[in-house]
Amino acid sequence: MEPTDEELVEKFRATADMGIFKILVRRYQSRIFAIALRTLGNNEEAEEAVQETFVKVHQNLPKYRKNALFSSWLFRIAYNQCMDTLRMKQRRLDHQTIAFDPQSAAGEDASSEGRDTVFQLAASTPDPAQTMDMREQFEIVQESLNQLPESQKVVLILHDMQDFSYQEISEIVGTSIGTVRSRLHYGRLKLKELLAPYFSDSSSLNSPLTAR
Amino acid sequence: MQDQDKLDCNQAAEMLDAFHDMELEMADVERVEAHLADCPACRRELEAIAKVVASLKALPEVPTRDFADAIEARILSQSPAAISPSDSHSEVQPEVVTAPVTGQSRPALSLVSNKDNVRSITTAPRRSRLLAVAAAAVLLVGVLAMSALAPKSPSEIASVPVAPVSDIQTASSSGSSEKSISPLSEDVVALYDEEGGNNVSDVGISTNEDGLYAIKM
Repeated sequence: MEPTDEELVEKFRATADMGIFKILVRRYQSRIFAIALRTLGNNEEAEEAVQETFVKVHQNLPKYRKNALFSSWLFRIAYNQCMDTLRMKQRRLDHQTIAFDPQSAAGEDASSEGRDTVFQLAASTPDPAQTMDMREQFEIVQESLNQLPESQKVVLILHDMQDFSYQEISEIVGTSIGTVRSRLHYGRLKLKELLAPYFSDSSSLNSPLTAR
Repeated sequence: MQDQDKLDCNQAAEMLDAFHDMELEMADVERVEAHLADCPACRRELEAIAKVVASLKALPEVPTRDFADAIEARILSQSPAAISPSDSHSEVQPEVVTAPVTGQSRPALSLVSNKDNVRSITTAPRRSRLLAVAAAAVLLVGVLAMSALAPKSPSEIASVPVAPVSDIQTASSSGSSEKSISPLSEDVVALYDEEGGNNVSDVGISTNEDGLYAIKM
């Protein structure tokens, strides 16, 4: 039976064996990367966020108390790291806004030049035409998600994409369950409006978007 | 279900997301189900929520690489001391730096961080001022009596640390580069001479971490 996170933390505290710490890293790095990439929309920034998260986890392990789940504590640090990155990014942008035109979302827009986007990293399929359609769909959904306020976007990512419960999200984000519920509600409402032009009456749940 | 338990569309709409996510309490689940049974508009709303959620879930998983080694390297480069095993739970002990206490004389002013030297920083200026005043007085006496008496080196007064002479002192010691080591010596007198005996106030004595030296005002 695999040791729990908390057991690994205890062992690492006693031995300072980086091999143990790396088990924890490997346990959670993919999930944190996925959250960071969806939140930040940029591969480099997401990789940096993952690494900084674990550096901070290492630095703050003495402060970790066992009355909280290690995973909740870890994801909270990851969330804060992503928010810090977003804030710095926002400052850099200096109130510039990148307009999103869904009609041109399929192309290589200027904002994604010179960097790996989530779409460039997306899974490919053998059929190029189908790949294009899927990529278009993914881009539309991701770009629509990016239109949401950060607080709503993160909650949607954590719940609808990463399957965290309301309770877990409230711990990660540091807010009440009621606020989580409200952010989900309004985030989905807004997303529905943004995606409305792409939903067809006949679209199924598994393929919510149809080709234009 | 009693009438007061029935939801209107606005109330139901606020609960639909949690209903979809199975995060509603059982009592509310029953109320929403009862409403949905009679309300096609709210059923469509629930379908729309499901589509939005499905569109997010449909986004492809993003491939990632293993960061473990890079993270380890970053941690090691930032705080190598933190990796050493500890018998307590505090990994990083505050580093206590104690300056070595030796019998050697320390400079009058030094920017070091131990407590002993902090005290010396605060007390040294007072001592230096006294020395400077004394040196200036002796210098005046020496200059006035120079023609008749043998020069009395103020370095006797400024017997504290030996230090390089200042630029002014060197520049004023016309061609006497070999004399540039003593912090306060005949150079001061020579400088005074050059500036003229009646301009006493134009030459002063100051201190730095190397001891006393002459300055041109």
